[in-house]
Amino acid sequence: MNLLTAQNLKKSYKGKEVLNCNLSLPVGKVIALVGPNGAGKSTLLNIAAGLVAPTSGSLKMFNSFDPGSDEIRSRVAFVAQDVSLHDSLTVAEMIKVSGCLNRSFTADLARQRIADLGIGLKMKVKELSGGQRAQVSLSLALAKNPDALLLDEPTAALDPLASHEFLASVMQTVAETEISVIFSSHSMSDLARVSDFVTLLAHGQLQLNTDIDNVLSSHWLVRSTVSEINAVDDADIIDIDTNAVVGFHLIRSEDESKLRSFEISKPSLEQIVLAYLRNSRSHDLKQVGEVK
Amino acid sequence: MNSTKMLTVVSGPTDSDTQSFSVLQATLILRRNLIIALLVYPIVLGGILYLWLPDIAQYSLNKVLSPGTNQKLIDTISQVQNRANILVTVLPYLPILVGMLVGAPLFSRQFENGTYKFDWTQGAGRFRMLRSDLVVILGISGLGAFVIGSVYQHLWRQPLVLATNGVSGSFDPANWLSGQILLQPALYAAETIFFVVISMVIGTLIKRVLGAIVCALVLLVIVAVAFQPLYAQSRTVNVHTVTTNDPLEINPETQAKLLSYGFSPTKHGDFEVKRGWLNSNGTLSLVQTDPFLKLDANGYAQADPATGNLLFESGARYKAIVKKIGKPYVIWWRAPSDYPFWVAGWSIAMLLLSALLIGLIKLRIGRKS
Repeated sequence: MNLLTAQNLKKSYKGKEVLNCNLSLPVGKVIALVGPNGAGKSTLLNIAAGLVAPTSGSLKMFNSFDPGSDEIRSRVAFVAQDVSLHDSLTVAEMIKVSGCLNRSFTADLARQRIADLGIGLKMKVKELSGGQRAQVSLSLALAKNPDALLLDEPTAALDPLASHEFLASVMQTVAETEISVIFSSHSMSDLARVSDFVTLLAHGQLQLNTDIDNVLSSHWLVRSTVSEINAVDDADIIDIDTNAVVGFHLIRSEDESKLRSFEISKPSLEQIVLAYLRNSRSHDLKQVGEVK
Repeated sequence: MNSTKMLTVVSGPTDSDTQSFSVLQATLILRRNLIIALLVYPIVLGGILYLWLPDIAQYSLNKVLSPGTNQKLIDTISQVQNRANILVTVLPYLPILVGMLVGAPLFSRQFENGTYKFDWTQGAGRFRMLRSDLVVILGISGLGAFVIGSVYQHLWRQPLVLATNGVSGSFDPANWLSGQILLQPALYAAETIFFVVISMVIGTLIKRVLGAIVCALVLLVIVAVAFQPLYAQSRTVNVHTVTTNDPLEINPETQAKLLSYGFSPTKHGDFEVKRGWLNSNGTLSLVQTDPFLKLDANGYAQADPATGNLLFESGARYKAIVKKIGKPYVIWWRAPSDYPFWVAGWSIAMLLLSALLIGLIKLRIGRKS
């Protein structure tokens, strides 16, 4: 079963296309949705959460359900980028509101979790720190007992400690409930810590969409000249190192044996992602140059 | 992955859940707008009391004083009443103003703070939440407007009912002018609902709290200025004609007095007054289009011996009074219900327009491609 299936999914704002992709994301994974600013990450999550509709194409959750439907609102919890809670309410009131709005909401779970984090129930939301807001938001989302959690850059505004604690909470929840998570982030370290599947978007288009184990096993840093690396069969060149005559180039190849003549090493996930981002940017620059 | 869990169908909240949310929502909305309520409603209630006081004083005077024995005090009361006219003009707009101050931020605040992302992704869904919001806000503002409109009309449009019957008697429906009691407050409530809804629409368009409130207020001012004559007409109670049952005995002396006060015969032979006429059969008809005149066909007109400022001859069986004379009144004749139907139509039209605007709100907050 797929958590999310997008077919010819397009979204434009004021005529500018911000998303254009086909995509399938599996259930039961912690999926890192990465990409630079304007890559379409938030747009994809907003569509999945039912906040906006696509301009064309379709997106289905759990194979067959429309985002925003009663079914999906009950089964999917969304934590927005700006952790949008009602500032004028207390934490206890936020729990009460969430309880009224969600049939399967477990208020005690939310209260317990928030109390364990040392956050006062009588505190107003506006009095909370960024990290506390994120934790309250996550607690409310988890108390819905959802099958999937959509986290739209929830750690973007957090300090390193708060970010670490938030991610630890997510990981603990995943371990306890086997919930599906889509987690968008700029932070490569976040990505490496919590996710087991990576989806890379750049300029609204899908660059990479696979298990992190697959990513790590199929990508190589190859030390060679540009002409040598171009001569390798059945390998996709992701990133060319032009800083030196003999540089470290990132390539994707399922067959390690074809690279035996080179000095190779395993890149980190961060190196791979950055290489894809550079690749997409240079591709765009090239396209812009061609247009000009 | 727990596949059993994945396949479990969890439906959204039931109606009873939504109702409990409505109660919570009402509490939150009231709390959020507490400052507005604390500032504006005392003004409304204070205004009503301010209008009421002269009537109460007058009623008390009528009880203890002989007619015309304290003309100075009566004149003072009249002056207070006249000064209140400005407030009277503003008062009807206050519930609308409150409604707009509550309605305009409803969605603009959600967009400005991003809380719509939280609200609209919950199990209840945005349209059920909209329904709850509408029930709460329109219910409270509409009911509030109806109540204030009723009190306002009762105390001001028919002040003589209070002056004649006292506080307790004035709330006896038997002393009310039938047909006007429900329609006028209903119009008032419909207007309020319309302005609340339109301010909510503005909120979905502007998406900024301050901008939405300013736009809503500008709209209110424009409408108030443009439609004031129409509103004044619609809010006038005695736009109908009332006619005395019995012919009046008009002697030449009386006729001369009437002429001196600006009455004149019509081309039909009726004796016209400023807002009424003496019919050729001797009956008196009054048309009250100006609520400030305080004319009422329900009582006897009596002379004021202290000033001689007579509109009608002392002792004559005129069935009209001028309130500032400040004498006891005897209700003996009840005006027929002749409220113009267009007032009801106007109310219905505004409610229908409100329904259309709610449809527009649904479009504005729905998922957009």
